[in-house]
Amino acid sequence: MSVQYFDAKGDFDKDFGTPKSQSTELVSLEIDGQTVVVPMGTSVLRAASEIGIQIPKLCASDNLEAFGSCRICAVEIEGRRGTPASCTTPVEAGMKVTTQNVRLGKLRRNIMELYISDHPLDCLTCPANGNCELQDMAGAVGLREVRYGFDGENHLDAPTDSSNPYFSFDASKCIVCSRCVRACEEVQGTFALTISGRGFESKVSPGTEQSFMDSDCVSCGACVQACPTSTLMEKSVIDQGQPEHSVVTTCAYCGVGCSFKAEMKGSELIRMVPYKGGEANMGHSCVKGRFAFGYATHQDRVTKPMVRDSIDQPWKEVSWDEAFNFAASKLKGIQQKYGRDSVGGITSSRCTNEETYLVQKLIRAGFGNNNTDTCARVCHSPTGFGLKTTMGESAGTQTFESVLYADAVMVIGANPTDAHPVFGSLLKKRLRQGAKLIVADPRSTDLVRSPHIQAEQHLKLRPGTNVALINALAHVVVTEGLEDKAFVESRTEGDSYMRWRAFISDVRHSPEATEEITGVPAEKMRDAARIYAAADNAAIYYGLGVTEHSQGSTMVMGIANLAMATGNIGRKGVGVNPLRGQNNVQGSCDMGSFPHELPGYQHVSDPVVRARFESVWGVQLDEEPGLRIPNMFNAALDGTFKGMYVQGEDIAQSDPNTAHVEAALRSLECLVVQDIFLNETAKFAHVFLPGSSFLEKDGTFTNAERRINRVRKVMPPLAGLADWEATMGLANALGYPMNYSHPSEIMDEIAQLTPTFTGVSYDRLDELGSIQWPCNDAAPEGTPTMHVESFPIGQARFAITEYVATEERSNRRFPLLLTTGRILSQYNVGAQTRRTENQNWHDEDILELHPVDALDRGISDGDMVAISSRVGETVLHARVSDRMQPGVVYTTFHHPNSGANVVTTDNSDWATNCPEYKVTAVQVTKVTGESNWQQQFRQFDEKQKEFLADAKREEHV
Amino acid sequence: MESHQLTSMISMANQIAANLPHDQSQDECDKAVASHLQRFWSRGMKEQIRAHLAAGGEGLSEGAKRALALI
Ligand code: SF4
Ligand code: SF4
Ligand code: SF4
Ligand code: FES
Repeated sequence: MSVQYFDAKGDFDKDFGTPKSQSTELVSLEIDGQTVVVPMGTSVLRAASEIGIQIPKLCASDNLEAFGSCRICAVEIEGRRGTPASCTTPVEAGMKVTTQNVRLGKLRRNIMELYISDHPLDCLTCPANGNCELQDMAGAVGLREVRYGFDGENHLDAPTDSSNPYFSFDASKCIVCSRCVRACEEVQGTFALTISGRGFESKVSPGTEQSFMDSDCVSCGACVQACPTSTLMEKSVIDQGQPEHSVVTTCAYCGVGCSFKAEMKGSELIRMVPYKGGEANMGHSCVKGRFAFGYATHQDRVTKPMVRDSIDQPWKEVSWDEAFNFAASKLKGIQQKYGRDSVGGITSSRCTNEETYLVQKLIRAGFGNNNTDTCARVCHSPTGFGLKTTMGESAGTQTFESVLYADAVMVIGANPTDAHPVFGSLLKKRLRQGAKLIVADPRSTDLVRSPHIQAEQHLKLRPGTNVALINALAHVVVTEGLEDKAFVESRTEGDSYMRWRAFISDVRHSPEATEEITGVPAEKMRDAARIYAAADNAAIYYGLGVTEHSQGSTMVMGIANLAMATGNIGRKGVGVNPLRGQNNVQGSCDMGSFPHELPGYQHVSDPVVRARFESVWGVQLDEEPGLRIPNMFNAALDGTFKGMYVQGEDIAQSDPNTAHVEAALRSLECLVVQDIFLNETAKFAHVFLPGSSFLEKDGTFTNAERRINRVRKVMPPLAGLADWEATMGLANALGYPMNYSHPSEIMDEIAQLTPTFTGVSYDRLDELGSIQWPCNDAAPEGTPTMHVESFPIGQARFAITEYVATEERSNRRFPLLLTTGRILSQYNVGAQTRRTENQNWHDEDILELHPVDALDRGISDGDMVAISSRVGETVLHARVSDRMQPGVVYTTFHHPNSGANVVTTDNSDWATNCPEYKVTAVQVTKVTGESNWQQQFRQFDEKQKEFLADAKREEHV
Repeated sequence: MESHQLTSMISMANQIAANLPHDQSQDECDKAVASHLQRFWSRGMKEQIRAHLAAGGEGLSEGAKRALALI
């Protein structure tokens, strides 16, 4: 018989029983007379499964370590006594395994009989009917009778816990296989579930006999996924029944970009199940992508185009063509009157690459200027600038999986367990395996201390002092001789290095000299730098706590300097990794959303680049950069900017200094908003184009690892057109023809014009599953790790990173610093998550402050407090928390009426204008009612909702 | 009338001049600031701030003034 070697890659619907072994050493054995060759460390269960022999199993699953509790997977092995469990038995060379004979069959039936005698046999009405592993195994082992009877002691009356809004826990169906407990530990890393009691008394419970909602559970769904029975089951399946077909697509929430199987019944979405074949998430998910998709069919969806002449008028529903023509004639009129540069647009980091590409194309080719920007302006624009300046490419360097090879991990200004949960779980897994953790954050985030994890160093710095901190770390590396000289010599530019070395060695950057600035004891900084530099592989992960500062770009360059000086670039386990906020922030930057760059970060002033675009687009392009979002607002207030096309962004809520933004929006003569809801920005709009959710269109998203993932249409667009079709309609009405019949054609054009995308097409994506750009002749399957042999600019450049204190300083009037962030259950401005059951976890934004600051002001938990800055004031409830440091207060910005941005100022990053959300000087005082702004907000909101209702009423007359 | 754009450009130009590296000669430093403005600011913004410089450049730092003279 021939030797067979099987690689499981590619078969993602099958459960192989135990995880794939990473070993490269191969072992040959015989199973039921067939020879099989598998990597060392593979279980007998998995080896059999690889050649198509499915040994019955209950407690094993290939995303969990084998546990060996059910024994139903027993086999016989020549020369061994008894019947070992195949899931916990690793293969050995020359082993001869028998998986099925009379003895084994009897043994398995006996085990099944025991399980079934304590299981309610209501299969016909059970929600798992047809998709239950217990049922399958009963069938597989040929169970025909249950001799023990059903009237012995049993758990059939055990209660159901329905506290979680998305899944229920029916304890009567539990077979105590502990898959859920292990999933919560190994996959999610939350340790919310335990098995209490022993033997017959043993049962699963969240925490110490709590309900799911009261426990530490974060509702990731890993346990639901792992459960072989209907014990843990999605409520949507209980209500609607088992799905009948599925489509693989990509989550539209955060920059992790998890792949899901959208499981459907007709065009109704029953549930989202994380897809094992998704390389970003490898079968895991978080509460948002897994469960919070109800917004897509929420009653608030606006599904008809609407127009009006002024924002003090009710909306009028019109046909798509009327809306396009209305918008086009207004925009053209504005350009005639105020000049070509008086209009512009904003692309979305929530829409697909193809849609973003079309919007910037419409602006550059249709409007004839470069007034295009994207909300990445307000989050990761410094990443693009800083990484391009130092390493030559505007993107992170690794795959997520790379973290599993890191020995030390530094997390700066990021809160992955809340904002990038699936990556957070992977990171925690590596930390539990022993990698060292350094956290630099003004707050004590969950990561600093959580079950089985304790940060080696938490550098609790003052907001706004990042650059002083990173310089101090680099100073230690250089002056203590911890550099990787070989890397520096061969991979970086000598001159820039010598300059930087001279700069950073200066004693003014030493931890001792800067501890006054950062508030971090010098010894802690020294220790952190040594841990980072000494590790074989050290990786840096950072988030908006790095970019959203007046020196955001400087900080990104400082991070790059540190990684380059220690040689932590260009292989697995290292790197500089921005954790991107929204699903397609990377993509929207790649697709040429910025006013100075055409797709692929090609500067508009380069005549060769322009010529290529001009020949394909058939127009002449402007050689000067256009306006950035804050420039557009200022120009609007000055009266020189009058028309705007905003796709899928809510700038009225997400941008800083709300009063300023609102005044700018009010001054526009034509604001076209395209969104799935009448968002805050749409309340200032004249044309509303109903958007389509990610379920209603084809396209691609690019995640924080540069991974291009397919988004696949699972239902028709509620409003009739997908977003890319609406943009085409507007372009055509403006007289710039666009005719694509499918987003794949748009991708083909992108590939033609963008050197890092030349190898990307929908066919290739279907073939490979996903592609990490650059993907071209030099890297036909994409580039998981960047800068392996050289940098796009040849040698990397060190940057001089002088610390310049922000102008936003606390003073007598505003003695506290406000910093902002996010939490797990809500997403960004909350337009989607607020319209789901995720509200159960977070239905308002809260101000957190340190007990000392609270005491000073007579504030206790739950009090209403006014937060005022030099630009505005808002009122929130307070929470006293020692996660904060004295002098620093914190809030999230998921709810529009919280008005967190009413207080943030228009200070911004010097290089990119990314707003300084993370530092605002404020005062906090106890009050009894809401702020003026909130009252006005409520009135305006009510008025605009009436205008929307009017439009709907019209329809029925 | 007060121009929002101009007010913000003045502080941006000063900020850029303050942040670009100072370990090089003044000439090089000014060139770096000028090139940054050249690459990232719109035509209209450059025109407006040059006009402001010509009118005395109130509010601009010395570094920002020198750089703006180069564009
Ligand atoms: S949903 Fe996730 S966090 Fe909650 S118990 Fe299950 S695995 Fe643990
Ligand atoms: S709830 Fe499901 S996964 Fe957990 S022990 Fe019970 S049967 Fe197993
Ligand atoms: S929100 Fe992010 S982590 Fe959660 S499922 Fe979606 S992509 Fe994954
Ligand atoms: S599957 Fe092997 S012991 Fe349960």
